[in-house]
Amino acid sequence: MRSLATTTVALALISLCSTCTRDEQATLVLEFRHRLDGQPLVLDQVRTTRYGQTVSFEHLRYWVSNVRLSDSINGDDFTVPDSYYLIEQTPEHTRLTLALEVPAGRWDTIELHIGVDPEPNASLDAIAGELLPGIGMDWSWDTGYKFFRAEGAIVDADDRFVIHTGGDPLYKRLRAELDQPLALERGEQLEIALEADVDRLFVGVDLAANPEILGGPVDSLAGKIAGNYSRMFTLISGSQRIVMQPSSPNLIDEDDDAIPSDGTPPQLSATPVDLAALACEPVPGRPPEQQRSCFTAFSHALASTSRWDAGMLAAVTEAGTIVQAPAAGVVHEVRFTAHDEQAHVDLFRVTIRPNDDSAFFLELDNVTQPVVDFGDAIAAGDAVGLVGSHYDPSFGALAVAVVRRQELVQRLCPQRYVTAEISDALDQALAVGNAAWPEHAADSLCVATSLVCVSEPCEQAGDFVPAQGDVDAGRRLYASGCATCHGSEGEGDIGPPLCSGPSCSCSDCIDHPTLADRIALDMPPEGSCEGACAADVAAFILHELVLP
Amino acid sequence: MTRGIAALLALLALACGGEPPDPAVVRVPENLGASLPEPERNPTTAEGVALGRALFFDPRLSGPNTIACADCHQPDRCYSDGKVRSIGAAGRPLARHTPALINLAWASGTFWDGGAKNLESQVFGPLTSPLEMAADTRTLVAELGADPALRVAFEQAFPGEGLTLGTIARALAQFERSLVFADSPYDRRARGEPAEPATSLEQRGHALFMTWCASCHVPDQFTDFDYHDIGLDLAFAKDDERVAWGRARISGALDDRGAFKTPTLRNVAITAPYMHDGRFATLEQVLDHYRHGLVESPNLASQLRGPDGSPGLDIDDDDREAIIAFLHTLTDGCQE
Repeated sequence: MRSLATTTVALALISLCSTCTRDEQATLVLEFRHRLDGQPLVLDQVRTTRYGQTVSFEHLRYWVSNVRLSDSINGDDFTVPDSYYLIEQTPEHTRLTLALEVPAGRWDTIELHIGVDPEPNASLDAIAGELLPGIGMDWSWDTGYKFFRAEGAIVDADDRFVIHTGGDPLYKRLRAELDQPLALERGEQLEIALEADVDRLFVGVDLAANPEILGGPVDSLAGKIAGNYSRMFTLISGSQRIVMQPSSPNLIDEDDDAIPSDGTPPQLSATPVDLAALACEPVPGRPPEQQRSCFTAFSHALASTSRWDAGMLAAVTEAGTIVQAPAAGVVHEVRFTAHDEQAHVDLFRVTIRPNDDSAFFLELDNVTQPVVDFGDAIAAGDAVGLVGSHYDPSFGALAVAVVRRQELVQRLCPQRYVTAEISDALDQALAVGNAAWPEHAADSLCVATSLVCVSEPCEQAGDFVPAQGDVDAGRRLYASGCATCHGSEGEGDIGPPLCSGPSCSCSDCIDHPTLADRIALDMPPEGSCEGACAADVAAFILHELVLP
Repeated sequence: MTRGIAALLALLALACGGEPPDPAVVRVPENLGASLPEPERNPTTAEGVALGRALFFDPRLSGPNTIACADCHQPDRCYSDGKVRSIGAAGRPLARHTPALINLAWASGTFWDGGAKNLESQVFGPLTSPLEMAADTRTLVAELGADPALRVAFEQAFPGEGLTLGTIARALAQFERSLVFADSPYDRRARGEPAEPATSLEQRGHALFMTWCASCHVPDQFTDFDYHDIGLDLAFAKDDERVAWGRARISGALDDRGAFKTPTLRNVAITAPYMHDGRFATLEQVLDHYRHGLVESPNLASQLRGPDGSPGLDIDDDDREAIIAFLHTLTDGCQE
């Protein structure tokens, strides 16, 4: 009995030690530096962000979890055990530094997560590290932690902002690959700073119109905020500054650097369409703060990507492969990366690649809708292309056009709006693409309109041409069924006014699906205006009554 | 060397949890299931259930040390309190009605909207809500730990772990899971055990129940563990983090606005008032609501519509009486 137990112990020790090639410890200190408007973030201090919001923070708190070091040379990998930490600046407590006991040696990659991984997030009793329910960093009524919480004043709107994010899909992994690896001596203490550009939190968020962002899925404002804070950290170690790159570990495969399986690096060096020619003009009559910047074609940004030099059009030649037209060069994937040259971060990335069933799909990283499934809309022999844009920060929209040889890919246009600018620019893109590759000429195109405004509820709804609903029919229906209460111009009477913006009571006047849904559900008499009726009336209201 | 090995062995024994706690005897009646559903990380033990029961009645869990779980979940009322909306630590009524605690081991989510993913997580809702028990999780463990007997009880129930915030939740969850009740006249008849024969009225009520009610209140749990809009309201305020939205508050789907959890009908005759907000005082009112009080809405449960799509159950006063007589056969008093 005793010898058996001894053997068990010995085996346990051996198996333990097989993983600890580094048994000497060092201390890695992570110091979080929150910066706002170019200054260290001070609570209750009024600052104006780069994106124009004048705010002061009452507190800022978030969970940092699962800190991991790895080394690409010797393959070592170390996750700090029970690493759940609450980073916070509150009136009662400031905690911005983590001292981590880690194995000494060489490390060239640092990962951490903002939020809490799914298992402890689903079981509030599974408490590890600093995790603690009941301190304002969980939803006890909807099991799970608040991953990130920021509250304060919107000074210019005389309002408060409240931001809470959470939910497994918003669990964010941040990663930095170091140019100069860490070399930790035994017993050494090394400090690394993680500088948080807190201004970025508000990119593309109209805070005054949406002061309360209380959780939500990936395609909500909470998802937008999570995307923003996952791109706000810069790792500073010695002389190197590395922007941490986000990924959503629950949605996107970690191995996004895979080389095509035939081992041939992609060669996509054929003459690209000159998308720079698509520069758009300011929209006449619109105030400057509502101007969107020009279409920045993907090709603009491609030079900044290290691995891919993608072009404009690609021909799908056979199941599993895509060849850029007209040049040779078989690739398995085409990627487009939009890069913010000022912040040195990738804003988003688009990938077209076949899935296991050889169907093609479009995958988006760093945006709110991660995957658009092409289904059978794209097949071998088709020419596909993409144009896209990242608008100005106050709008934050993304448009992707998919060009097919034959017909509109309707399935990518499920809902929402197409701006006139997008439409015009895509028409130009189509013309340019067709001229460059007549053999792959497309006669129409589609905007993946679900991507437009997915991260924004389209406060400027009046700017958009409704994609569904008949405005003229809606006008007649409105006059007979709605005007009595809401006024002939939507000015309000017995019923509330129809308007948009922070002072407006019509919280559903934000986009067509929401408003149509509200009309169908709640407008009296019950059941009197559903389906096409609700769609038409919503189209009319948004198009003609609700002005930005 | 020998001493070193002995120390290692002792460590190993400690790490493995030493003597495992005795398995609890939570008898599962055959018409409820083969065994007690329980999560792997929190197996039900006699020590855990006993500790959970003690905590359930212990007002020290609350911030002001005045309110125990059992104040609102009273054993002699099947762990409900007979109030429309209970009053907790803040001295004002809660947003929703306190439900009875019956056969929760089989529930897939708790609270009226299913927001708590499991019983262990659910504990933190009432425990930390300022309206309910207002506990401070930063000090609770130290406060309870001042009681040596409690520390011993935790060490026995959770060897190697002892008293932590996590084990407080797990002990309470074990106790709640042990509240298995299926000893009503209906159950004894269903299992072929000695029982008074059903009256003709009860039999007729049973048949009517199977026709009109059982699609959601599925025997023998008498719930489908799902969420439905049963035509109570048409408008749902966004206030208070959308508490009035019901399931939609959790699922995010507008179609779920106004949908609340189907409660079990076990012991329904002794757990008035009814609905998620306690709006109906009697079973007669409940059935009359289903007969002609349904608010028409797009989200209304399809089960409540007739073949022509019109809402409402086609039952008369006699049918109502018979169904209520049947519902009384589901009473066992929740005695352990």
